[in-house]
Amino acid sequence: MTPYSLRLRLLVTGAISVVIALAIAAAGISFLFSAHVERRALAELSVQLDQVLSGVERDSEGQIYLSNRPADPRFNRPLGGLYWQILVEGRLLRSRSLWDHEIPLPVDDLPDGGEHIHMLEGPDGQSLLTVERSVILPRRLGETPMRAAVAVDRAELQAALRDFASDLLPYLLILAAVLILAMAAQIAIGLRPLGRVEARVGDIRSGRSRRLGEDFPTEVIPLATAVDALLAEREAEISRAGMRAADLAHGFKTPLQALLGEAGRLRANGQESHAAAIEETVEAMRGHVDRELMRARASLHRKAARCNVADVAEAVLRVLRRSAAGNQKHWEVDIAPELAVGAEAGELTEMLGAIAENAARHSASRVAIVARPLGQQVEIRIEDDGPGIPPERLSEMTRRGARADESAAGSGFGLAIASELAETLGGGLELRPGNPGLSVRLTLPVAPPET
Amino acid sequence: MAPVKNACRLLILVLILAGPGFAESDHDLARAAASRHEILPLATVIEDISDRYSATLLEVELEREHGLYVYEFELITPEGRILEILVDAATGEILEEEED
Repeated sequence: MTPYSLRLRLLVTGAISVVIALAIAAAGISFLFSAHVERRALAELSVQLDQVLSGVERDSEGQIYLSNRPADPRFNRPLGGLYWQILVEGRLLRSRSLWDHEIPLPVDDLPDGGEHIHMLEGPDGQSLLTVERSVILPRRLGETPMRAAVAVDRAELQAALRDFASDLLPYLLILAAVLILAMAAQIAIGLRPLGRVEARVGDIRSGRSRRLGEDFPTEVIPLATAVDALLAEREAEISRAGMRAADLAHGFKTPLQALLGEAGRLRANGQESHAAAIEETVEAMRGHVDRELMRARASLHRKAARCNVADVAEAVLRVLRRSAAGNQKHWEVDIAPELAVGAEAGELTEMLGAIAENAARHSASRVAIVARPLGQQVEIRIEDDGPGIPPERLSEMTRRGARADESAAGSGFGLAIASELAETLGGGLELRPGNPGLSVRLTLPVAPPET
Repeated sequence: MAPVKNACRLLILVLILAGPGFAESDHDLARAAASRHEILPLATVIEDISDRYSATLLEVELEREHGLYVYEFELITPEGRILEILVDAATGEILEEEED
């Protein structure tokens, strides 16, 4: 699916509606202005027509003529844009502006004496807005019927409308820009809570928070609630699965122990080879069980996990010093008291316990545990003064089931599980030849800042 | 001197009466001549003239000189120069051009 922006969608549709609305407004305003201009022009023509009608006289030869002409100079300039025309007693009197043209007045079937409005053709192809009226002259002038018309070139009205439109346009553009900017601001403010949702989701992913919460706008709360419900469901499911795996692994431990007992009895009865075979199988199964337990714990691991290295090391040593392998050894510990790693205490105990126990078993007299920060990682080094492991076998030691000393007790899973767990947590386990003995280097990420 | 003065007065009187009288009737003259196709319509001639001089029309008069209809145009150019141009009304040919 192509990514698209809600913001862009709103902005584009909003901008289009603003432009459409303003275009409709512009058309409406122009129409009103045009109607207004035409009304003004008709009112003016009506006044001019009255003046033409009042100026009619008879000269000494008895001919009708216009004694008092309208004063507008446009009546006098050829094709001047403003025209009058009189038809009386078969004679045609015209303004000078008409020049060689005659206004083609239509045959008026309704000489009701009122003013009639026509659109007629004028000189030079002009379109004329014409006001025309049929009257009866006074008795003094012979009570003869007369038809008079006054007309204006519509190009003048259209020019006024064009000027108005071009004056209006920049204001409409500014208005459109302001409206669109206001809308962009409205969208930015309106959609800001969605950014908060994104930040919260980021918090959940990084482990700083577990739920979205409910401090959102009303419209977002249903979504946040649904996401939170989903998160809770998933969390419960994972925890159930982890617990089932742990239960299963625990369930195996006692039967395996019982099997080992049976193998011991077989050995006592002199069936050495059968006992060894059973013990080997049991050790392999125990390895799987330990591994599954570790995995179950790792799946429940929280991103925000942290524990103090010195405290965990102290707890591990307390146990080891009481064990057969550890009580005779000299333990050297050098760990800064505030040093913390991104792991649960249980996880670190598991890893450190496996490595330290291994070191205690193989050391001659001394085991050193040193931890120090190394950039974004913490390095924990466990060194013993035992026989060590030949360099060519070092790498296979972290594989499952490998053991340096086949006769010694232990599953051979300890280092492999510790290595796997360290990798799951974003660190690693590395074996190196020590001086003398074996040097195990466990790296783990530095603990996230406390919130 | 009195007869001369009287003659002058008479002349002025004639001019006053005749002047407007002639001016009033030149459009009727134009219509009559145009309807007989003796002259070109003013709109046609104006188009030619204003194209040629790229000037605006101030005033037009139609006169009859030696049996020839003559349009007398007064134009103003965009630079503000006022031109007077005589045009043969029958052909649209420019007869004379002078600056005021």
